[in-house]
Amino acid sequence: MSKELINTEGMIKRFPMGNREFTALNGIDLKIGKGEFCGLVGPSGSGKTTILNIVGTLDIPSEGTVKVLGNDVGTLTAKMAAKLRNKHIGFIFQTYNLLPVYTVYENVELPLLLLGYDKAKREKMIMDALEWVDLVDKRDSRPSQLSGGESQRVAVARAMVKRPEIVLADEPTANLDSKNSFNILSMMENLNKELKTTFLFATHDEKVMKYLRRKISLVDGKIAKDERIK
Amino acid sequence: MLTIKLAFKNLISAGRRAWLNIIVLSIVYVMIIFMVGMMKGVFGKMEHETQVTEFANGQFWSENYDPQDPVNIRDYHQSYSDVKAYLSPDKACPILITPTTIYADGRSSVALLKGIIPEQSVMEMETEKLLIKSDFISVMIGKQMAKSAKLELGNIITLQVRDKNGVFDAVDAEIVHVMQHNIQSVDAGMIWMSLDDLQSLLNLKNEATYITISKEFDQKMSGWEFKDLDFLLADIKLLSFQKQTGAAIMNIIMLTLAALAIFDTQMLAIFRRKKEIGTLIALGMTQKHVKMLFTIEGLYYAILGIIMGLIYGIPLLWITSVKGINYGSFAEDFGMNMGSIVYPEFSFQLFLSSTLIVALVIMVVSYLPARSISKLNPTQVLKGK
Ligand SMILES: Nc1ncnc2c1ncn2[C@@H]1O[C@H](COP(=O)(O)OP(=O)(O)O)[C@@H](O)[C@H]1O
Ligand SMILES: [Mg+2]
Repeated sequence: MSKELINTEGMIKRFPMGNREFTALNGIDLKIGKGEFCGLVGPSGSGKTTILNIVGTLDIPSEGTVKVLGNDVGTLTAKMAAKLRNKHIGFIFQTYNLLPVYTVYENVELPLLLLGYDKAKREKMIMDALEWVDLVDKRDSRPSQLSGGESQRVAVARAMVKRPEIVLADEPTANLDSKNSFNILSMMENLNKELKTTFLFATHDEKVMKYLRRKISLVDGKIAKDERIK
Repeated sequence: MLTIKLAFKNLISAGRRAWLNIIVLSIVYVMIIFMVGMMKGVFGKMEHETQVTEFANGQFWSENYDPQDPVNIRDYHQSYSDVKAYLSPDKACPILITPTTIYADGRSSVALLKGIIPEQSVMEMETEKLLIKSDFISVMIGKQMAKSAKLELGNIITLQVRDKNGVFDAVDAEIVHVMQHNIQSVDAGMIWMSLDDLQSLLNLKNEATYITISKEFDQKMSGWEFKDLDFLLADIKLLSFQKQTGAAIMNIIMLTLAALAIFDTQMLAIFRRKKEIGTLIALGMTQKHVKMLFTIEGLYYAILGIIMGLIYGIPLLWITSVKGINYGSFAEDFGMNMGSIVYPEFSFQLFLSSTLIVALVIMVVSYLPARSISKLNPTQVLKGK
């Protein structure tokens, strides 16, 4: 196992398009280590989401090897991939993706239920997570009663509650105003510093880029630039 | 365990449509039990009453007797002189049949005239009423015959028959009794008189068309053909089978409709909740797991529908089975004349089999839509596609 949490070598992803194929990722070599706060930036269609999907074991590369925490994504069984996501990877989406029938508390609880943690342990972890995002008083609200900023904070709590190694955030601020965007970004930055969680963003939002300590620029499925800031 | 809890929560929160499905399913479930129990009650009663009033423990038929051949019915009779010693009225009762034309109030109608021993106790018929004294020959009919031939108690009628030699003869008779039971086959289109009267009228001493026997009768009867209850009740059993098949088809249709509603709801749910499915996968569920979640969600329809059905169904069905159901005009639609009150029969077995069938059908319609979850692409459904 390499010391990198994420390690891709020659990652190629092709999608069928009619009777031809479309190459969305064309040879991506990327190493991301523990505690990084980095982002994939680039225009829409450059392949950011595709990379997050493969790193998040929701998809597999067409060619090349992708290792996440030492696991070869291309050869994982469905069960192993699910386990890896459940334990070590948190997702944050542009549209929050909270489950509408559950309360805030229950939404945050779901990953822990899947991990099989007992009630007391869950309760402690959920309350910690809700404190991180400052939503303890909304624990019994339903997603429909929350603002966009609050919803995304619940999503952050849900991603962070199990203290994963990696958080993958796909355009997390795209639906938020600037105040809420900064708010959520500083929360994530704090968590990154406190818990040493690795954050990998996909974004074309300038506000997000200000926070990134590493900016990986994508153009047409290739890395055009990979710069560390500060 | 987690799946079971989550599925329950999803269903509970699914709102009006889910509850509507559950209510409909519970009604169908109770209706199925009710209809089957009703059929059991109706045909059980019909079979039993027909047996005790008409067939007792079987019949010995005269040679060539064919009840389906009313044209030649006059010719089917033979002598029982050889066995007369065995024919005590509590063990065996000879019956003689001949066609007759009834004249009453200037109207005429045809019927079968049946001679029976008034003192017999083989069949549960009120034949002793034929002993009521009259200035004419005493005859009795059933209430259905009374209605259709417009006859009533006390009417004096003329019966025209042809005797052994084919010579026409006519006698006056008084209706001394109208039977109130509901057995069509000893009522519709027939008129009863004492066997002695009919035999002397036809000049057929010691002759009968058939002999109905009780359980105690154990003689061999050469020259007579024994028909057991299986044979005699075959028509009723066939009718019962047909009606029960009809009811079963109704049940299948009702259950199919309820199942379709649930299938539709589940299909729609999977279509609408694609993003949720993607999210669950991202949170660490396998597609198989999500598939199970949705299947169990569908199964809850069966569980809740059955529980709800039992909650109001058990008292409701219990009351109907104790108080009976007024079958009334419904009976005529069924082409039979049953007593107005029928007691449906609900057995534990009926509950069990209905429950299993409903659960099985709903299991299938929950599983079928959920199957498509395995084919979804998680990255696509996350986008809500
Ligand atoms: N499942 C798919 N089938 C076909 N084409 C796809 C699929 N997913 C992504 N693509 C294409 O791959 C390219 C990269 O997509 P994506 O990674 O979503 O870009 P980004 O997130 O940078 O906007 C786009 O041109 C997109 O149309
Ligand atoms: Mg994208």
